[in-house]
Amino acid sequence: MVSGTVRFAFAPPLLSTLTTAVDLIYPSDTLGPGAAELGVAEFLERFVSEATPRWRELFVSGLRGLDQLALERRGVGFSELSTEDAAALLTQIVDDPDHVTPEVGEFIDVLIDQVNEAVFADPAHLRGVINGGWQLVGYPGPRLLVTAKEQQFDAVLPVRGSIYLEPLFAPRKPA
Amino acid sequence: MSEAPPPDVVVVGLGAAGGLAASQLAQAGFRVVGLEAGDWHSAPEFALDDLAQLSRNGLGAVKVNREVPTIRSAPDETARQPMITTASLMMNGVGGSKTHSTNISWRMLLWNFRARTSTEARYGPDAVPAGSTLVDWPFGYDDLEPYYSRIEELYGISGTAGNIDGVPTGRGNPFEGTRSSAYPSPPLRRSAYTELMAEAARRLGWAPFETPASIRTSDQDGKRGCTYCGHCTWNGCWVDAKAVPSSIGLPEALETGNLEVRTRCRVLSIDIDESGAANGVTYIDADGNPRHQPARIVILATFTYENTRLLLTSTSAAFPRGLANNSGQVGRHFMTHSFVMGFGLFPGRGLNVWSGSNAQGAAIADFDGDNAAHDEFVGGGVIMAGHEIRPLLHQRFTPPDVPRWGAERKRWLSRNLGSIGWAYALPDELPYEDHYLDLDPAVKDDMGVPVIRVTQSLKPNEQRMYGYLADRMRDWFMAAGAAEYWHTRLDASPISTHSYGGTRMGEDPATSVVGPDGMAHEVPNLMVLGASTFPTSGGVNPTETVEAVTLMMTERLIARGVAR
Repeated sequence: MVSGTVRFAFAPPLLSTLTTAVDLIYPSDTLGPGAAELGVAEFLERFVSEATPRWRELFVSGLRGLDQLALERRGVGFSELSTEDAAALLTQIVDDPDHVTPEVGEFIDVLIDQVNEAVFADPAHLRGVINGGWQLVGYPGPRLLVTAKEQQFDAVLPVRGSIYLEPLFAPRKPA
Repeated sequence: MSEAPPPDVVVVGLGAAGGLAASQLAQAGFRVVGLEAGDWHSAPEFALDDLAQLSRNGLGAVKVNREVPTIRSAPDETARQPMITTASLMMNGVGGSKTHSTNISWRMLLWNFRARTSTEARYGPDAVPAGSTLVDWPFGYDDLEPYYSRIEELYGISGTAGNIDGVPTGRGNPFEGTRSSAYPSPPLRRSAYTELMAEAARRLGWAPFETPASIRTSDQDGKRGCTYCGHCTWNGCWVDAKAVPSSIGLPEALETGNLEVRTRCRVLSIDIDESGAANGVTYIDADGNPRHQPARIVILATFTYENTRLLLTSTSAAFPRGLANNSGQVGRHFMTHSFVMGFGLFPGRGLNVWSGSNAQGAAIADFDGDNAAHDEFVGGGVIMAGHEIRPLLHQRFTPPDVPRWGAERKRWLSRNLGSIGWAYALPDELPYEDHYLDLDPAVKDDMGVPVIRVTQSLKPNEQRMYGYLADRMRDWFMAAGAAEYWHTRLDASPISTHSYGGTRMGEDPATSVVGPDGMAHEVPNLMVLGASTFPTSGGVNPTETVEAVTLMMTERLIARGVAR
C-alpha cells in the first residue's frame, strides 16, 4: 500500500455551491465564458487544499453557511436556486453583511476577490484556455521581451498563451 | 583540540541592508556568518505568473507568509489577522525583498532629515500635530550624500541627475539635494504613456523627470539589461537586471573566504552574556535543528516587523521586556507608506501599459516634503505614473460605481481595463505616540512565536495629505486628457512593504533604540539596520536610503575594527 498525504477536497454538495457562486461573480455571457467554465471552482478547491487550515475553515464554514442561508430563505440549497434568486441572495449578503453570520460575510468578501483574480490567472492554473480574463480585456499575455514599438498607444500585440510554454519556466508549470 | 574562534559578525537577514553589510564587512576582512530564512533564488523560479508571484507571494512561502501581522486602529481594540493574498508582504531569500521589488531608487530630500526643525521654522512651533513624535534625524543629507553616490555607483542606478555639485542640469529632479555625481546609468526607456504624462505635467508647470531605478538599463559586462517584460514588481527578474545583493556584492564577498552564507535558517533569539552584551543568536537550521551561532557583533537586518519582533521575543533577566527595550522604545514610532493610487480613463485608447516596469515612469517631486508650501498638513510625497498595469491586480481598482461582481463589472472591464493609466503617491506618514508594534497576545506563527500586532490609524494630518496628493493626481490625469479620474480609498496601511520605525535611530536613549552609529543604546555590540531605524518615513521609496545608511554604519564599524 502506498502511503501519502490525503488531499483535502470539498464534499460534492459544497463544490456545487462553490461552482454556483463563482459563476455569479464572473458569469458566462456573450463576452466569454464564466468562471465555472474556466475551471475556477476546481482551481480554488485545489488552492484551499494546499493552504493553511484557516483558509479551509473559511471556505467550508462559508459554503455551509451559504447553503444554510438559501435553505432558510428559499427552502433549497444555494446551488438549487434559480440564477435570479442566487444573485438576489448574493446581493443581500454583499450589501448588508451585518444580517448574515460573520463566516458567510467574510467568506463572500474573500471569494469575490479570489474569483476576480483567478479569471486573470495564467491559463496553466485553470483549464489551459486563454479566453478568460486576458481575452476579455485585451491583455496579450506575458512575454519575455517587449519592444519600444509595443509600448506605443494602440499597438496590437498577438495574444500569447501560458508563460509555462517558455522552456525556462516549463519545469515549474503548476500541477 | 581548541574550539574555532567565533566569527566577528553574524548578520541576521541578507536583504538590501544585511546582504550589503555582510558583503562590505567580509570584503574588509571581517569574518562573517550570514543567516537567511529563505534560499538563493534564480531565474527559473521567476515565471511571469501573477497568480503565483503577486497573488500568492510564492517567494515568501517559507516564512513571511506564515507570520502576517495582526492589525487594529486603536489600543482598546482586538486585533485581527487579515487574509492577505495579493501581495503586500516582503519575501525571503538571499538578496531579500530587493529581489521582488520594483527597485525604484531615490535619495530622500534634505527636508526629510530635518522635518521637525524645518516645519517649526516655516510654519511655527505648533505646526507639528499633537501626539506626533516627529524628530530630526541625527545626521543630515550632506552627511549621507557620499554614501548615496557610492550606492548608485555600486548598483549602477539608472536615472537623470538634477544637479552635479549643486549646478542644475536643467533635467532630472530639480528638488534633490546637491549631488557629487551623476547616475551611472541612463534612465529606463520612455514610452507613449510616460511621455503623455510628462507632457501633461509640464503643462501644469510641474517638473517631470524619469523615475530613478536600481535596474540595469542596457547589457553591461556580460549582464543583461531590462527587457521590459512587465513583471518587475513582486517577482524576481528573469534576466537579473535588478541590482540585488545576491548578484552584486555577496558573490564577491564569498570569494574572499571571509563570508559563510547559511540559508533556510530561522533566527529565534538574539542571546546575551552575563554582562548584557550580545554573544550570538539561536536559530533553527535547514534541517530543523536548533543551533547557537556565537559572534562578537550581531547585526539585525531583517524587515521592520521582524526586527522589532526578534528584539521583543529575546527576553532575559537583564531585558525582561525584550532586548534593548528597557527604555520601552522598541516598537514605537511606527510608520508606513499608504500607496495612494490614482487612475485615469482614456476611453477607446489602448495604452499598452501592461508591459514594462513600474519604475519606467514619469516622476513628480513638486509635492514631496515641503517642496510646495502647504500649511494644512506636514509632509508630502512624490507621485509617479508608470507602467506595469497587471490585469490580475488592477482589476481590483475599478471606479467606485462599478460593481464588485457580476455581468456589469465584466462589461466594464472589457471596455476599459486596457485604457486605464495609473499613478501613485508615496505620502510621508508622521510618527505618532499611539502608532506602534508589539507582540500579539493571541496569534502565533507556525513556529509558535507571537506575530507582530500593528496599532495604526489614519490621522487628520495624513487624511489631508493623502487627499491633497490624490487631488494633484486628478489634476495630472485631467491635464493628460483623461475622461474620468478616481483614486483608492484614503486609509492607513498597517501592513506595507514600505514600513518604518520600531527601532528608531537617535541620540537620546529615552526616545530611540539605536544611536547614530546604528548600535543599540542598551546593547553595545548589537547593530540594527534597515528602515526600522528611520526617524521619518520620507516621501519616496526607501531602499536607496536603507543602503546608504547601511554603507555608512558598516564603514564606521570597519573603521573601529573588532577586538579579537
